[in-house]
Amino acid sequence: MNRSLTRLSLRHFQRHPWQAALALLGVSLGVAVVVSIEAANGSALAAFELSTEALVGRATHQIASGSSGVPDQLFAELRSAGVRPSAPVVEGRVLFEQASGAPPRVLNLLGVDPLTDRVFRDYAAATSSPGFELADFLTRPGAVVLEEQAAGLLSLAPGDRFEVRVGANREELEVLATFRVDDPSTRSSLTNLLVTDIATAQETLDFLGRLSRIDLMIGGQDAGVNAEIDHIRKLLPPSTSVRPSSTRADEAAEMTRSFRLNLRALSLLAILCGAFLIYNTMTFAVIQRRHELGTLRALGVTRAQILLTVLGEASLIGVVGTILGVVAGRVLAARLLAQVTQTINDHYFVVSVRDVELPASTLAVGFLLGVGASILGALSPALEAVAAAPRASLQRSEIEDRVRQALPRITLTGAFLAMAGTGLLLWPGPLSVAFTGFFLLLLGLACFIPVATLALVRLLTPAAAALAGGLGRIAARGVAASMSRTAIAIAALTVAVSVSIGVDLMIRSFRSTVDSWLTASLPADLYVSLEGAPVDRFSVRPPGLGKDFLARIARVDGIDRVNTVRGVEVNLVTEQRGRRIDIPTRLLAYDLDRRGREAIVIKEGDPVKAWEAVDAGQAVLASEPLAYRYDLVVGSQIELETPTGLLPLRVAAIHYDYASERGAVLVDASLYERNWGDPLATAASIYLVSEGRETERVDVDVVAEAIRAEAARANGMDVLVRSNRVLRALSLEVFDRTFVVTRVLRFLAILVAAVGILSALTALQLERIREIGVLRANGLTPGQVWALVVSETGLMGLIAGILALPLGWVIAVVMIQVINRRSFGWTMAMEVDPLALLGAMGLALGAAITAGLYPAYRMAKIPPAEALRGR
Amino acid sequence: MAALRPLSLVVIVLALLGCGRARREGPPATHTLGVAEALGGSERNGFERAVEPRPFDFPRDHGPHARFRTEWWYFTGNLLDLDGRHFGFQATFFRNGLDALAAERSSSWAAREIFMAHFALTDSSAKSFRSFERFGRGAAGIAGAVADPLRIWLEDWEVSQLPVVSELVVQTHPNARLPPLRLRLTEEDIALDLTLVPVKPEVLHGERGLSRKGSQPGNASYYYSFTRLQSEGTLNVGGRTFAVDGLSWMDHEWSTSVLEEGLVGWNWVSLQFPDRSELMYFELRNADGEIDEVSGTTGTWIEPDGSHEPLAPGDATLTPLSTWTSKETAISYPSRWRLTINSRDLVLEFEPTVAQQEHAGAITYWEGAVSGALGTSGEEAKTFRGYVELTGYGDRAPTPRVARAIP
Repeated sequence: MNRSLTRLSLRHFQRHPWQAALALLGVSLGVAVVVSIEAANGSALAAFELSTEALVGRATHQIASGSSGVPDQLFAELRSAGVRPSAPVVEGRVLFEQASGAPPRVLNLLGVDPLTDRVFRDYAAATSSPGFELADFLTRPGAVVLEEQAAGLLSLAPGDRFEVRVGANREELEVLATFRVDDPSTRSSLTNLLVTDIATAQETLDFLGRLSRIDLMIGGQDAGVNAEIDHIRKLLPPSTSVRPSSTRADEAAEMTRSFRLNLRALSLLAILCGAFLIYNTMTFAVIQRRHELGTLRALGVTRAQILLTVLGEASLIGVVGTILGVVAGRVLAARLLAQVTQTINDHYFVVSVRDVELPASTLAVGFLLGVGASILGALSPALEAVAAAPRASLQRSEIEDRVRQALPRITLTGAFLAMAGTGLLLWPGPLSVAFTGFFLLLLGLACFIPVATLALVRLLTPAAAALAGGLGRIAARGVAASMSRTAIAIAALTVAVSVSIGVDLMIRSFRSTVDSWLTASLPADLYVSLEGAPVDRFSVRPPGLGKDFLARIARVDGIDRVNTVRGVEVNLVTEQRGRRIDIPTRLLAYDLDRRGREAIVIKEGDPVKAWEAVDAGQAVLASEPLAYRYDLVVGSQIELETPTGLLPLRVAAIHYDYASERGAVLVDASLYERNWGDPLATAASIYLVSEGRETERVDVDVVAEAIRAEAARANGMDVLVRSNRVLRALSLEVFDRTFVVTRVLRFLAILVAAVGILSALTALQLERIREIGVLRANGLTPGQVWALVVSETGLMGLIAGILALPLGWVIAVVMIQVINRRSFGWTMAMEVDPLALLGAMGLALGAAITAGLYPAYRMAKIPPAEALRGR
Repeated sequence: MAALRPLSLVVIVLALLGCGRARREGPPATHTLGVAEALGGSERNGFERAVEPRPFDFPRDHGPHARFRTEWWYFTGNLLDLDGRHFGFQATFFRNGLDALAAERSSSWAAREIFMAHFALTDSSAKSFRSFERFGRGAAGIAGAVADPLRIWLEDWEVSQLPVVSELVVQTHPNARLPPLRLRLTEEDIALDLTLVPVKPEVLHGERGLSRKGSQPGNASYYYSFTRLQSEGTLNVGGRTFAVDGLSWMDHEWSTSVLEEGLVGWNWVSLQFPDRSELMYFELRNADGEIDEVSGTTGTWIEPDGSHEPLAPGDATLTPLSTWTSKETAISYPSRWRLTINSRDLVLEFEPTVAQQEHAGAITYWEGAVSGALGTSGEEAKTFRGYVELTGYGDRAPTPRVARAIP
């Protein structure tokens, strides 16, 4: 670029620092949102992959069977049959209660056989640490080793004895040794890991006689691998299967894919607003200098040079803004990470993340968006500037004329985009296609905003005139007359507010659906369960309530009936598109009476017949997400992996279930106990005696206390006894936690839009300085200037607010009917809150008026003579 | 000597320290379970010591002795196929007690002992030698030893009492208190399946089976052998099947503390002669590489009728005649020998059938088939065969030795 032109650019920014600042703010906010979401998502997943690596090691395949695991003699049998390398694993989660009173930490207890495991996981560091003795590791009950820093976090040192909670029980463990790992990523993968002998793990987790899995290493060509797997399969009992170990990390990615995609889409909405903003800012930066650029052209500067200058400025703003945005994004990511991690822990699996990572791919996305949007935003005004004949200035009215002429074309393009978007949304392709459709639809609808603005102005002019007389009319005409400027500002605000409305509608509908489902599903008075580490599908069968204990509480005074449920992980085998697939699924085995059954709301199928079939042990109920995802219908045949083989069952009905997006199958408790040999219950629901007069009503708290006392008598068990109200509140709390991230993003989108509207309006009003000068010269008082400017921006805000209502509704419908349905398989009833809509309108109006304050102040202050000179 | 082989379990510890990240199965390296502690007579973990002779009770004593820290069952043999092709094999099961006082545990995986096993095959005509090692806990059915019916196993490497003996061609010696055995070992493309029939009674070494290994009481082991097991069966190597027969030798020894301070290794020899007599001889070496005269040499001569007597101290002399240096570990071992027994006026020379019979697994030692000729004629009938074990000649990595050599 020509040096004097560069100097010219710099001078321009020097003279208009606010313009550069707003542009930078817009770019960096947009980039920050995207980068932070990407980084938070990525870090959470990377942390899980790392800790998975520590647990899976170099295993390529594993022999497993849901949470019931495999019989432990199988290992010796396989070794004798020559299946090696192979290593037994018992894995589960335990709760470590911190002395500081902080919430308990979830630790992975990994039981290994040190004699066969070295091939799979490196314990060189662990086993060569001072104090480690193989003999003690094998013979001392409760002996564990852990990484030095991890031990530090738990305030543990070699020789320390400590308690962990496993279900109702407390187990004592002992730190045999700690080991040091120098590689930071390996170290962080070991953060929550207790390594112990397989015998200790069996004893601690109460998993005697069974292994979580047997790890295998099968290398070589595909054909060889398959032959080896077939060979191994023949040696296995029918209930177990061989599957690639990589599926574990993949499953984690898959489980959270919808969740992460949703977040990413929201962050892209923010950048969409940001892009409008950048476009806006750059347009004004160029337009402001029409005069200057025209002069330059007249002086012989070529079009290419001017184009380069303008694009150079845009790139500079883009790059600087992106760098600021990445820095801000990094900070924001640390905040969001806690939320994302919490959500993943609430719903998917246990992961603890300490550090935010900014991988190159995230940086690339940030730069692409920040710099790309800046250059694209500047391109159209730059072309506009160079297209002009080399004369002093291009008449503003000429531009407006052109914009008006372009309106039909813009509207037509919008219609086309909207149709294409709708088409993609209706096409049952992958979720990413639906998202693309969603964005096209949004863009398309945004293209209608100029036309809609004109129509609204025409509609609103009489009202404005009636309210504010001539000034009102001037304000309304002003909005319509400078469409080339106002349209974009209005569009940015509209998009931001409509996203806010849409997301709000979606969350509201979702929440009220879940709330009414919870109310229906929690009919009992009290719920008894065990306190303990969350159970994921990789840990051993969770602890539970024994039959003795249940029988004892059934005799507690005031208790009418006790229903139970057992929740474990199983593999469900079904066919999808002609292919046999096995799906890790949650199995819920219910022992229910009439009231318990009414709590399960059937979506498809005849409830009476369905329960009969379930009672007869011939059928299951499938949850809505499961059915949706795997095309199960009433009458579908499925098979469940049991310790004794595959159990064929029929889907008798589909029921609503918002507890697990992965889906669940519901079976009869006796069927479960018969086939899985597991008599425990995960939770019990208690119905109190309800007959009698009001005064003789049983006191819920008294019964709860009696149950706790029974538990204390039974080996000092720790049980949670909660009322349906508390349980419902807790569930909704988890729900709300899940959507904290969404709300944060919504807020950021609005912030981006508000900044956009501020910069747009400031620029717009400053551009009209001469016009205001004329008005001032003709007797307009400073107060009237205030009124004029504020009512003009207020009108823009009002228009944006009005337009955002239908657009927001469309966004909500798409999110509920398409995005969430396809992501999670849940049905939601749309719920509209008029107050919230009014609030959104108010938001648009407020943002616009606030944005008009500064330009109004500036213009009211300038003496008319100066204004007339155009400065 | 076979008697000291369990030391290997401890030596593993040192070997693994040098290759901590080695991706092979085996016990992890540890600092604290050193040679000195394991063999120097620590009272840790409540193990008993071999202090005085005891009556042997078979078949019970064929089984494990959990009150002692270390124990092994050891089989070596020289086999010929129908064409006279020679194979040597070694199959050893080590039991290493972890803690005699360990608490009762509810898990069936809770281990009080670890087993290690070595399997080696020497193919003399192909000049090849292959060796393998395995580890497994003595729990959960992975590895173990049972007296009656006799079975010692580590996964599918197994020695067990033959259930049906009627079809055997060879008759068990009437005084041999050991049932006919079946030995089965499979690894990679090798499968060995042998029937072993004791044709001579057991030999109790040392003082009625108490084999002293040092001047201190308790530095000793209980040690008996079956020195002549008529062996017959099949050997599969690389897809070829050989019908083989020959003679094997079984040692069973248990102890808690054997090695006296200052000793680094040993030379051990077992020889089987055409006239149905056998010889077991071992000598202990100190850090200077010299034979430890006080505690270091002993042996047993077994007559054709099974009667046997210990060699008097100083009666036998083993002289290395040449050395062989391992390409893999750069360790030099003696590789041809002269054994002189003064009282019998006997001079024997023998050499490895294959020079490379070095085990370079978790522990490094040389153990292999040897043969020699009686007299000078060298006729086949006069050939005698046996096994030799050499330990303590160096560790895996030659560098430390080089480093030590630099003042």
